[in-house]
Amino acid sequence: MAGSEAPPNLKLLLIGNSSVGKSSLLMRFTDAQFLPEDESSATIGVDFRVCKMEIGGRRVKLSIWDTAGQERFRTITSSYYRGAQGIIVAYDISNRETFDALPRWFTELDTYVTPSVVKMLVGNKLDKEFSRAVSEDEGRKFAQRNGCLFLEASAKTNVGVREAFQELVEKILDTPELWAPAAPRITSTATAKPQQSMPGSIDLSANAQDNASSGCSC
Amino acid sequence: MDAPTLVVVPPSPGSQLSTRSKGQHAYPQIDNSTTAAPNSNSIDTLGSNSYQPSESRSSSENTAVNIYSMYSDGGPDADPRLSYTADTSAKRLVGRGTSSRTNSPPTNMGSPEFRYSTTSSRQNSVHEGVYETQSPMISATTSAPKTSSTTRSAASPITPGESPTGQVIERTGFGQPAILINPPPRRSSRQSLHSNRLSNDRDVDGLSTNSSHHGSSSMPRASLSPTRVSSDPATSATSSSAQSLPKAIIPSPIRPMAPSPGANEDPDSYFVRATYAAFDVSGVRGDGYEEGEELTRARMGTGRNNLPSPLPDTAKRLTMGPKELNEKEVQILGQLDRYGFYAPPSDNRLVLLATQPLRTALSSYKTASTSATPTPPVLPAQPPLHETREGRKTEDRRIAKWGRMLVPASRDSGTNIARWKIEERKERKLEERVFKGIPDRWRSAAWYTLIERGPVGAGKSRGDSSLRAEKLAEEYRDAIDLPSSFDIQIDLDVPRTISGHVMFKTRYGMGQRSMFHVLHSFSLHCDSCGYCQGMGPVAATLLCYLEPEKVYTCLVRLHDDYDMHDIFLPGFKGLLEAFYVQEKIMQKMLPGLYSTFKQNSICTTAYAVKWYITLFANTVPFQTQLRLWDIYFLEGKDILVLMAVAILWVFKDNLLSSSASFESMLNLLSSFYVVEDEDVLMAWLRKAMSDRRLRREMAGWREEWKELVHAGKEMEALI
Repeated sequence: MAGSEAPPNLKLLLIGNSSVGKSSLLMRFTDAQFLPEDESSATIGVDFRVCKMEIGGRRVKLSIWDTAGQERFRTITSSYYRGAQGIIVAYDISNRETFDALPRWFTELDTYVTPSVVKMLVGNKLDKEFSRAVSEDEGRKFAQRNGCLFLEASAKTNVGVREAFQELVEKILDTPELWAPAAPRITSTATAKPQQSMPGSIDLSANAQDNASSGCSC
Repeated sequence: MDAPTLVVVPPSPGSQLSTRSKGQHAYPQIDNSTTAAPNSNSIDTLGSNSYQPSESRSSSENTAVNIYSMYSDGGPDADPRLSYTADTSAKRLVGRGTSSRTNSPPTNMGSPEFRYSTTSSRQNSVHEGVYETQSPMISATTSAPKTSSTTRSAASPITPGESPTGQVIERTGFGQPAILINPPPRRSSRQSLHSNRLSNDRDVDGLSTNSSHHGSSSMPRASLSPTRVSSDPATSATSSSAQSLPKAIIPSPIRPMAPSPGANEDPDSYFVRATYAAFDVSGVRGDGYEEGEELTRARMGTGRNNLPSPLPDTAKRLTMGPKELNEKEVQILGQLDRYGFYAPPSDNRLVLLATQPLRTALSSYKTASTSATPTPPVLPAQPPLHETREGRKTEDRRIAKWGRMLVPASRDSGTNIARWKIEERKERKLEERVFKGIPDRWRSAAWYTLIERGPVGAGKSRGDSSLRAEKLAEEYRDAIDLPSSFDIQIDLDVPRTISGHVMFKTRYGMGQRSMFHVLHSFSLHCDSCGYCQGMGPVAATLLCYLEPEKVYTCLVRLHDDYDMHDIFLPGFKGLLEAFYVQEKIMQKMLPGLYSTFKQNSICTTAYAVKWYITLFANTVPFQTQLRLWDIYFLEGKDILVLMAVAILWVFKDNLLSSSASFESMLNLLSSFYVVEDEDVLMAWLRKAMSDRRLRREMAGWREEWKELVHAGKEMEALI
């Protein structure tokens, strides 16, 4: 059984202010591609991408939800926090405002996800070093205070992107209670394919069970 | 019929356009068309409703040139005869202190100030070109009457050059600029191209600079930059040439054009607004093919205080004066497709929306062939548009039919057709023809007319629509001067909307500025809607066909009459209603799929939000989107739901496949759909739309949804 174990299917979520490069990070990661400004488009609602990766010889399937940054869409995107094992919060190192908005995003996280969920703060647009508005140190300290991983990256120049996802996934894999439901009792719910709670209705209590396995991820 | 054809609207028979390239691109040749578009004689030809197969060119083909010409001014058509009428209204506008606004190029294109300020250097130069130096442009101009007179229908008594306030849309949409027949030497067109582009300011601000020395006199634009930026000499130090320009020549009228910050306006927000205003005046070099420079999206520190002013740079550009297009630029512009795209927007999740499933009408589908693959084949790239002789003939026929079906409803003071209407006796043909696709050169008029009528069955009394349009246009212009709390968000989205299109390529170029202004004003229209991401693609598409004021008017009508208000509204109640109706149809017609989605918690918000909010703009290729909008403007919101159902219908077997997973299903539903045969899709939609029982049920479900909301039980009702 050990060898042929089905790869775990992890659900990740990307959040952060509008235009910090969430979709670009994702596209760089899943498709090794970067679209210049005039070829990209704003994410409306949520976008979904799948990706496979191998970590330490272990195959992992990732389902990644990319969300719209505009405040208005949070009513929609917030239901996608459910069941996520890892969350990437992105900001733009050249735009102070996107960093200043982080506390609001972390408040959202407190509301919608369990503490054990692995969080990763990514300062994107490292290619804009010349107009940096947030120092790396500030970013790191903020991450430490909020108990999450931290990396600076550039989707454009492909710096740190793979590392960010890799670190996040490694951390998730180190937290088995996140991805390997303790008991297969879930089968009682008539679901043909056992999925972790997927976005759907507005039931926010679904993950309450995870509270037992708190253990801060950092 | 089985041969996959991805072209809905066959490229127009305008291959005469490609005078230099052996037809390898039958599409807009910028250098030719540039001179053509500003030619007000084209108004004439367009006014003429005439069927001119040999010259027909789609209005969106013209977008390639619009950016230079239709937005800037009348160009060679600045016929002295025209300036009179223009004169008064220009004074009116200026007098109202809105000149900086009306100055926005798009507004200008149909608006009179351009002619008013014939003192402008650019205009002078054009006049010189046309009337004195007998530049090749004149041959273009004069050729217009010839062509049009032979083809003009009785419906259009307009004579060339009579129409100062020509509707740009009509101008570009219906008539064939006669120039196409007899393309002028490239040189002249280049000149006009650049002079048009550079002219915005002068037309409005009345700078009387000499066109042949575009340089230093354009400097005054510096005064338009946000004061806190331009007042700092250090920031403009980057451009010594600009600095050396005498500030004394700043004409006084220019100053009031700089927007003043609102009482509580965020400085960043003001900076954004002021930057667009500044570029309205100065124009941007290389508009349409250069990238331009980003000045507003990135903020430094806590504000934009350190950002360079756009003005020194702009001034520097203007000092360069008009330049010839070099070979490379000509080549680049020659690559545009008929809709003005450099390349179809890239998406790496292209999936073919196959024809086969659409051969079966929407009906209850119970026996899925679960052996289908969970993922249909992925396409490597969007196939290029291609035209066929047959397709061209069909389009020609349709153009003629539409020319007989749409008749002038009213004219402006210059006897241009201001509004169109459907010829009463042809009314019964309208639906069928809309479903077959509005010929692109008629789209502008047809869309505006359909939107003005409102969706079938809406039956709202909206008063005199022409009065209302005028009021809305004024509202648009006035709102540009007001601060909007959404400016920063709009500015973030403008450069990443409708990617790859010539009109919107250049940062702060005319298209982007129009988009900004329209979205800005629209964000102030409805207090509860404000600006919602997703409005951008809607505005941008409309801007390809209509001038900004009309786009604004259309957006307001979509908001009011097509219930887009509820779609954009925070909380998205209209969106959820659409989801509910869609799910009800699924439950009825695709019960297997419905229960699979339910089991897997594939809720509609996971994939369909962008479908409805952008009206499928980011989901299907541009040409398909246009076809869909043709129907939407006629029929209203039900078509959106049915299009969503159509996508599910086509992929039902994949989604129901025994090896389908949550991931494969959502991945498929998040794709970009290249439609194999739009005609088949539209026929399928038509059949569904004409299913009276289904439509009644849809109406019923909408009511049901409202009751659920009322009872607070709506969320349980959705998947």
